[in-house]
Amino acid sequence: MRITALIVAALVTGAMTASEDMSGARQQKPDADLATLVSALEASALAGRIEDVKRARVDLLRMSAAPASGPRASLVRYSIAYAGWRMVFAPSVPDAEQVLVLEDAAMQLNEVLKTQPNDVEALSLLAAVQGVRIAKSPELGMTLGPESDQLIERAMRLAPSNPRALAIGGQSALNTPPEYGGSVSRAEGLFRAALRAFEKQGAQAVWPNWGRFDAHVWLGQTLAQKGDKAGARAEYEKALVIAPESAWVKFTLLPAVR
Amino acid sequence: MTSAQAPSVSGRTVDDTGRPLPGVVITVRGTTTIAVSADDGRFTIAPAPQGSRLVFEMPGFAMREVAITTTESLQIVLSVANVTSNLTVRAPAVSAPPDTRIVLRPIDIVRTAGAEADLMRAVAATPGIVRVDEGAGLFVRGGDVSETRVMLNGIAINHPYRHETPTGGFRGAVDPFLTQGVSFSTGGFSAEYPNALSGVLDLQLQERPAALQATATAGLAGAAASAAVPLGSQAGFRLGINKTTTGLLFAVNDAPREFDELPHGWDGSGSVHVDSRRFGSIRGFVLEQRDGVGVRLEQDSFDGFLHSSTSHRLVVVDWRTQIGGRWTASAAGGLDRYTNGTDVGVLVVDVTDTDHSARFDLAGLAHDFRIRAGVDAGRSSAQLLGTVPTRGGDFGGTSGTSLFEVVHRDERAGGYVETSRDVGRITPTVGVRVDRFDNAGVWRVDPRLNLSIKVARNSSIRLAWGRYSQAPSSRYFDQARGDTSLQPMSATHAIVGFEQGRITDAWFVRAEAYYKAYRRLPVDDGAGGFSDQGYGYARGIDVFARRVWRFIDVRASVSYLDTRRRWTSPEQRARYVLPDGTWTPDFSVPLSWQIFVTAPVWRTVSISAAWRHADGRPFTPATGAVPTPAGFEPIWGGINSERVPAYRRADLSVSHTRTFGRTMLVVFGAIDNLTGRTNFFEYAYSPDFSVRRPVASASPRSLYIGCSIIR
Repeated sequence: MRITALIVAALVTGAMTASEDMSGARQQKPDADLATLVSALEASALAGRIEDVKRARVDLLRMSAAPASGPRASLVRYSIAYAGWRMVFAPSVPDAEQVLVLEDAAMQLNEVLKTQPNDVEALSLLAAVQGVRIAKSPELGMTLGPESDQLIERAMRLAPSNPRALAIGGQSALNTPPEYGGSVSRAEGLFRAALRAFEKQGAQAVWPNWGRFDAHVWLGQTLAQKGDKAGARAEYEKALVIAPESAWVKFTLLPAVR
Repeated sequence: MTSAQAPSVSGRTVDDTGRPLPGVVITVRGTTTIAVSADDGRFTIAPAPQGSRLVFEMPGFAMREVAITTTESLQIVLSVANVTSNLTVRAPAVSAPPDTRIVLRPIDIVRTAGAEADLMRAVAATPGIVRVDEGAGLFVRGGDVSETRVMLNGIAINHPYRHETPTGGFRGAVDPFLTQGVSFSTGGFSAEYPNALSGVLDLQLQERPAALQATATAGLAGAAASAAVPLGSQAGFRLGINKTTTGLLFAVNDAPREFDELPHGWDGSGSVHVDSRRFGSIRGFVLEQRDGVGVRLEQDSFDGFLHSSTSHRLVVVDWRTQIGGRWTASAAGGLDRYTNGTDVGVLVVDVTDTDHSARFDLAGLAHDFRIRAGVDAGRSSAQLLGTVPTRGGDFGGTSGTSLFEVVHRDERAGGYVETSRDVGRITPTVGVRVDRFDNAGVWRVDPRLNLSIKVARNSSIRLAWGRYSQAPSSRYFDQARGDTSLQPMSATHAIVGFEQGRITDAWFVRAEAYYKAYRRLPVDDGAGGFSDQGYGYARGIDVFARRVWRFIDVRASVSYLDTRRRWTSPEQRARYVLPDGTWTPDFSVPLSWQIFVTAPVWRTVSISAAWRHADGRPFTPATGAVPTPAGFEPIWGGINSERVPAYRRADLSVSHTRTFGRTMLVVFGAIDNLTGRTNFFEYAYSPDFSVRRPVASASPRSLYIGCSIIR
């Protein structure tokens, strides 16, 4: 007895296809709301929902496929790079994908810098991206290390109170070996400066407005490295106020300083 | 950033079943050159010189990189990144231990030729399932259909079939369209599943709609419409209605049986979804169904019409949230209400079944241990009133009639805990279930062990052992004649298996050998009731393989089964004089094998074909008859001592998809039982039982066509 058999077949086929179809079409619209997209991206990044970060990155890539220029196009490219940089910290992202995503992030930011060479946000993020590429492939340190240092120094020179430039500068100082100029004390100073800059900036700053969570976490790691467990704990708890779902902080960083 | 003069590359993106993938982002590696695949999966990207590399990205699919070495059109297959995590809704952080589960997406169900887009029929095409008729019943590895538990988001569905029969029913009650996929376990399954003796079919409802969508469909057997409506970024609802009328279908094809009331019915469903960062995800789902049929039935020497009218309501509410990123908490509650009136010959029975169930689960990580734990409870109320033949199946009433009265209420409450940890190449999983069966007044403690040993990069061996308990069906608790103190049935599973690859890979093979020992099965006590003194065993081997070659997807399976038991189904009460020891049950089919092929034959045309073979099912022959004032009473030979001829069937289905802007048209067609072979599963007899004849196949060769519009 057949009854509704192939009606259901059509419905299922249709549902899946249309869903893919329509989501693709919708997300390709050039007038899609970039602000909503980056807001969702940041929320997903803080919550550790890496699949949503990936999804946002692909949505941004689709957006970049539409002919556009000027600040908005640069902001789209910056956001693609930011999503890619966030993705590579997730263990679920295969190594091969990490390489491609980081390479693409660097390329996107270099595109931004071609038209806006003094874009502090792009300079800072590119420094962070190159830093991660070195961490993933130490052999790149010979070439990308100096580049990363120059990028972040330039960013901090151009905008001494940019909180992300300061935080990434601190990260660079923390991760660079002392024989190459790294310093835990300098890192701590830069993270604290970044957090003061975030305070001044306020919570409602426009995109790019990420980094407050990271500054607390990185400062916490710096303090932990110095043996200040209570200070580290306090910073991690502040980070959890911003991202209560961060498993990394709750289950890895905090237990290590208890 | 494309240029008409620059070297370009064209192609098509498809998923691993050959279906077009729109919206895929294609970039030339290291450049800003980018393209997005169109509705039919086609793309053109330029400039893309020879030697450069293309990167393909799509949410939910693994990223893929391809070198440009040809000027010919490319066919790019993207594989789902992680099917299991998409489907394991209740506990994404910690999945169930590896078992014999097969995961099917709706697209797999639709593309299983001969499954008629029915969820149960598609599942029945997987290894370990015995085919006893043309219905959709899931008889798992020597177990009765009632021993397979069907769950919807963790809530038990006690009537998972439409047009129910003693062997299950003709179709599944839940439309695959309502689910995001199913997973099916045929043994050694997790301690999280309660009250299941042989198999578990775990259905997961669709998630909150992400885009507005409407669908209308018409075919030879009826019409359907559905809508998915997002409400902002955190809520949405789905609605669907389906009307079945078979007049046109049976005008085009010969009716498989004679009807005095054509099969008809409708169902409506709705779901509401709310996702909140603070409170988690909440979903409510309602399904309402009505069915009716009047069909000619031949059984023993009876030849008459069966009339049945059914109403079914299913309500499920579930909630899920993450706790700190490492733990997931979920809860679900549900109602399953089923009413049916059936009259056939002297049998006239009205049924009302009401089942409530609820559960709470936690899954997460503690140090290196994956932990799952939960509690669940169910309450079932059954009321069956009517008149039945004294001898089971004697609808002519030669043996007389008796009152049938079941007013049965049972409650079960239980809990489980399960933990696993990777120890090098070995992953042991240890679990235990504890259940209280209220009607029997007993506790059951069921330990379950699972050991997965990775023997190579892509291969593993699995060892599993576990004990399983299930309350007997309410149909055994006839107050007029039956025993009312049956203990929960029990089964012990032991499994050894080998697996190479993953089911989503281009090559996958799984082989399993199993042994199951049954205890406390209900069996006719010879005094009109049942005792729980039944027992039995089932042992066998299942092999399943899948190969995807270019865009051709081939799946094949073979199953060997040896089973015997001392057991009586409720419908066969007082039908036979029972011998000592065990006998072959109705669902003992020693060898069955099947092969399924899906292939795109043209850009927008896909074809699926299937071939199934199974040894004939056993039956009990009538060796003579004794005249009585009311007619002839049969003299039965050995229970299930003969077999009907082997079952063989070929099926073919084709679909054609066209896109017009944002509107999609799907035209589909199918031929069931392509060769027109007359399969049959039972015999009917002349009034004096001197002549027997095969009962006509429920599935003659038939054609079906229809179309669907989606926007």
